[in-house]
Order: sequence, then structure tokens, then C-alpha cells
Amino acid sequence: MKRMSRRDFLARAAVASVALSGCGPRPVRCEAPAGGPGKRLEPEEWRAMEAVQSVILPSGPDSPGAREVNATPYLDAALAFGAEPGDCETVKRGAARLDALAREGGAADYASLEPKRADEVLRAMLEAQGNDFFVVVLGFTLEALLGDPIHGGNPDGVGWRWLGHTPGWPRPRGA
Amino acid sequence: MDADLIVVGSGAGGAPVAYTAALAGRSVIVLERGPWRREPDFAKDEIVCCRRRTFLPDLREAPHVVAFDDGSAWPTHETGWDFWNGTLVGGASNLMSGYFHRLGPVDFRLRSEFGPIEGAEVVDWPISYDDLEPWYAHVEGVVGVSGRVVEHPHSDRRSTPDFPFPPLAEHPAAGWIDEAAAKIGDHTFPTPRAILSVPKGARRACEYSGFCGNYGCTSGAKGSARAALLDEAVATGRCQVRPNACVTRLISDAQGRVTHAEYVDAAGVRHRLGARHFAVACQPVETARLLLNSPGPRHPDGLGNRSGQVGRNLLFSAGGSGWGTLTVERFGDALHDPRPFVNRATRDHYVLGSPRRKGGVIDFLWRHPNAISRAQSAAWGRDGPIWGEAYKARLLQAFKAEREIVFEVFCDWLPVPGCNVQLDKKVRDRWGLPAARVTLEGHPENIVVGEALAERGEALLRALGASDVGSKTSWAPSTNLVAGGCRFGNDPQTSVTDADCRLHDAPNVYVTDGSFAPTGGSVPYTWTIYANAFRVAHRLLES
Repeated sequence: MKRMSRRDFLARAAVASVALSGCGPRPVRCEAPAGGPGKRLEPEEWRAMEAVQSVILPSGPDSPGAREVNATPYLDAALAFGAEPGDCETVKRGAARLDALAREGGAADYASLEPKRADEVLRAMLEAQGNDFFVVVLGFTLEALLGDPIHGGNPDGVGWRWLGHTPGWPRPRGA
Repeated sequence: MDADLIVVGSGAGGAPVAYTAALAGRSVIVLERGPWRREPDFAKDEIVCCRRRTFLPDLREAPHVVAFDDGSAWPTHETGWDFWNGTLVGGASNLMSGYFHRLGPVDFRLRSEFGPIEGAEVVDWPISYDDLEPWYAHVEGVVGVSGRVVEHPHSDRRSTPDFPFPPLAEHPAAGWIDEAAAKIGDHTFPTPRAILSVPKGARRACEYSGFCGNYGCTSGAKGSARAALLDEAVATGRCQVRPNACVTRLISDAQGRVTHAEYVDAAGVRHRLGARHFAVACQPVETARLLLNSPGPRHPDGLGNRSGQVGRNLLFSAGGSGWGTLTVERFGDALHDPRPFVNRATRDHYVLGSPRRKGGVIDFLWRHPNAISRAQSAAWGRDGPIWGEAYKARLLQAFKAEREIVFEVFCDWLPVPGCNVQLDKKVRDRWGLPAARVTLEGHPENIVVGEALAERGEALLRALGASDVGSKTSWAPSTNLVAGGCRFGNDPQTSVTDADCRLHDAPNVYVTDGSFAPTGGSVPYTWTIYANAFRVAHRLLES
């Protein structure tokens, strides 16, 4: 007789396990910043996230990337409204870690790295800390690529067009 | 007395009772903890539908606790995994895919047919297939089931020649699957769907938007308890639906009969309503919790819990899923034909041979068309995450050059007493009431049977010409298919209700959701919940 093991359970709740392992160095505040464009992201976090989202989904000559689908403004807004409680903390800790790793290599911050080096730093971070950060950032980046434009990403359906995806209908109506 | 009948919960278990009573001239109040959303409130928006808890309560206000054999227990607001399935008028039936299968005659006599299984409390049902058959037929007409009878070795025993609604338009892959099945000696048949193929009353026919399961239906074609039943019940003028009404307990008198339902409205105000009869249909986890949270003078351990049976033998659906990739290179542009439904299933393995044991059903369908979730899966390779240019190339491939065909295996989740619902001793909900503590335990037989079926599903996908064929049979419970916990039976020592789903110890209270099932059958059992609720409703009116 076998009961569900806790491991089976946590495998089902992979993203949420971030909240369980939240034994980080210091609490992260998830509030509106004093300055900058962000609703939740501080200016330096915004820069780091803009850079890493472009590493995950780079822009191409004929294909949209994170920049073209407003992935960073979308992420910032989602953290302020709609995201699971642990997501904001995951993003902020990850952004700080990317900047720290970049500085250890002598750069000013993550956003100032060359693309190849930015790719390596992301890989090194995930190898050391697991994929939680990637899972959360990828999810919101893809929402910006393939969600309905009403939410602020995917302008004019550029992501849908790129992948030949036909959305369902009726589409959500304007607010 | 505020009404003849109060129904707690407005989904597939509650709405048939409200509908039947209202049409028969009785006054009914339906109490539903979620809001009342109608067709114009729904849209095909993946973010709202499927990536936020739009149709589910806040887990900090309405927690569940999941417990394990090492004694650990997790409040679900820490993990995001819970047993809510659709907290809105009409319940989870708003969000179902509507793959409708009848149970087979063997499902009603599992113990007699296959003998005892060690560690499992397998019993026969107190009713037979023939007792329920007229109500399956009733659901076909009233809720609306579309399909086409095709004879095969495990065809349903029917009292009517064919479905009242013709089959939905099918993707060409339905034909490919039939051919593949024939190659390996299996028989596929059109899966009945609780989706209108032609209009019915105020409900429009399916508009083939392609985003069905998990989404609220915008045409009224899906046979949700709300669109199919409650709207009509309300139109009689005798049925009132109160949304945002969270029932906290049922109050019973010195004779043990329930006199009132107590609920809290959206503003936090407590109300009491009296009625002659009560139907409880909150989905099994919350039904058991409500009964356990409702002690009374004759019910010291919870309503109807004299024998300690409330919450025991909680059931899910065992099985798993499989997948394979079809390519445009091989199947041409037909692969991306816009008709969304494959609607094919096989029951050839409903009973397995040597040793003779209960099997199950396999449904074939396209992978869910949600774009964000598909793109998410494409980011995981054998060695971990993929990003950058390699990921973009993979996305183009996955969306344009391929399509994923999947199958779902449904087999019995054997009843085991260790799989149950209790009241948690610490965690409470927003109103201060103990939360449901769900202890999960699966019988090893679930996996053996699931894997045997998955092998057949994989064989069919290979015969179809799919590549990268695989499957996973899971220990994990299906959170969208939950039954049991208040099994019906003739012996009050081993069951919670009688054969009419009436509490042995409180004769004016009926449990009308899937809680009654002592075994769940090896199909998705929504049709059975509907059918049984109609059966019970008629018994209630006769009483």
C-alpha cells in the first residue's frame, strides 16, 4: 500500500515549491517602488529583467522577441496584479542574483553584459539555484508573447502571427 | 419554512435536483458559494481562464490541507494545489470538456464480478445499471448529449436507439484513429459529448471556437448545470439561485432531522433558511466537510456520521495520459484543419483478461490548444530548459510543423479507507470553520491497470504513425474528478446514505453529488453524477 508521497506532490506543484523553500537571506519587499517606471520592479531590477527576458526570447529580423511583445512591462504589471504570492519574490531575488554574478565577473550589472556572456550567467545561476526563476519568468514572458493583447503583451497579435496560432473567440472585450 | 427544498451547491450534483423539483411545482433555493457568471461573462482568454485562479476561491480564505503517510500535511495556499474545481453557479460543469461515458453494467457489481481486492473496500452498488439506465437517457435529452451509436464489443446497453443530438463535426484525425485501431484489432467509437451540435431552446449550438475544456462556454452549447438546467429552473419562477452564499452548517433538531441551512453572504452576514428537504452537493471534499462541520443533538460526530463513514473511501480517477507527435510532413495540411474535435475512444479494454480484472477506457484527443501552455512545454528538453534561438526554432517547429495527439486513460481509483476527508485540527477558513484535510492514498492496482491501458493507447498511436510516443501512469489523484466519501448502501454500518442517497440518520437530507459512489467506474463520471442526481430527485419528490 503506497500513499502519495510528498515528493510526488511537490513535483505537481513545482513552481509553488519556491514558496516552501523560501529560506532566503532576507525578506524581499514586493511593493510599489519609489522611482522608475515599475509597478513592482525597482529600476535596476527592471533593467536586469529586460536583459534576461531578451536572453530567453531574443528579437529576430522576422520574429518578435521579449522587447517587441512588451515582456518586461507585462511582467512588472503581472507581479502587481494576478501573480501568485511567491512569484514577485522569485523574480526579485533572481534579478539581484544575476546582477551579483555579473559584478563578480567585473561588469557593472547584468544588463551591460554581451549576449553570449549574459547567456552563460543565466545558465550558471540556474545550475546553482534550480529552475524556479526560469519557470516563473518564462511563464510571464510567454503570456506577453501569446496572451490576448488586452493584457498588454502581444501587440496586434504579433506573437500569434509569428507562430500561426489562431486564438479562440469571442475574444475578451475592451475594459 | 423558506422553501420546499434547499440545494447546497449548484453543479452537476445539485442542479438536476433543483430543476426537477422546480418543474414539478416545488419551491427551491439553491445556495452557491461562487458568483453567477453567464455566457457574456466568458471569453476565450487563456490568461484569465487558465493561468489565474479566476473560477476558484482564494486559498487563504478557503484552504484545503493535503496530508501524506509521513504525517506531514500542507495547507494548500502554500502549494497552490487544491481540490476546488470551479466555484461558480453551475460549478465545475461550466469548465468541463464534456467527454460523456456511461458506466458499464460491471461497474455496479465490481465485488461480485471480480472478487475482493486486498486493501481495498470494494463493494457492489445497491442499484444496478438497469436502475440508472433511464436516467442516462434522460440526461441525453435534457442536458444535451451529442453522439452516434456505433456497435462495438463493449457498446452501451441503451433503451433508446441513438443520441437525441447528432455528433459534432470531427477533425479528419478521427478517421485516422479508426484506421489505426483497426490495424491493431481495437475498436474505436465516437465519444459522446455534452455539447449541443444543434440549438436547444435558448442555448445555441457549438460554435467550434476550439477552446472548450477549462473555459466557460460562450454559446450555451456545453451542458453545464447552469446553462442546461438552472436557467430553466429559474424561469419557472419557483427556483431561486443565491450566488456568493457559503453554507457553513446544517442545523438539525432533537429528532435528527435538518431544519435549517446556515450560510454567510458576500458581506459576511449570516443567514438561516428553513426547508422540508435538503440536498447536499458541494463536490465530495466539501460535502464531507459540511457534514462533519454540522454536528447536532443526534449527530455528535457530524451529520450522518454515526458509523464514522463520512469522508471515507474518497475516490478519484486513476490512469494517466499518453502522447505522440504527428507531422505536417506526413499528414499534410489536414493536420491543422480547424475542426477542433477528435472524439474517439475505445472500451475494448474495459475488462482485462488473465487474471480477469477491471480495466478502463481510453479517450483520444488533440493536446489542449492553449498556446501559452504549449509554448511552455516546448522549453524543456532532455537536459533541462531551452532558451534563446534554439527555443524559438523549437517553438516554430511545435506550432507549425507538428501537432501533439494525446490519450487519456480512465480506470478505477480503488476505494481505500486511508484515502479520505477529515476536518483539519488547525487550519480554518475565513469564517473560522475547520478546513478539509484530504489524506491521499492510492492502491497499487490503480497503476497496474493504468499501465496496461496506456500500453494499448501507445500501440494505437504508433499504428497511427506518431513519433515520440510515450505515456505516464500517475499515482497522483485527478483533482478534476472526485467522487466517494459518502457511499450509498443498504447497511448503515458501512455506508452514509441509503440506495436513494438519503442519509441513514437524517431522512430529509439527500447527498446528490458524486459522493454517493462506492466505486467510481473506469470512465470520467460526470454523466453518472447527472444521471444519479435526476434519479434521486425523483425519489425525493415521491417521498
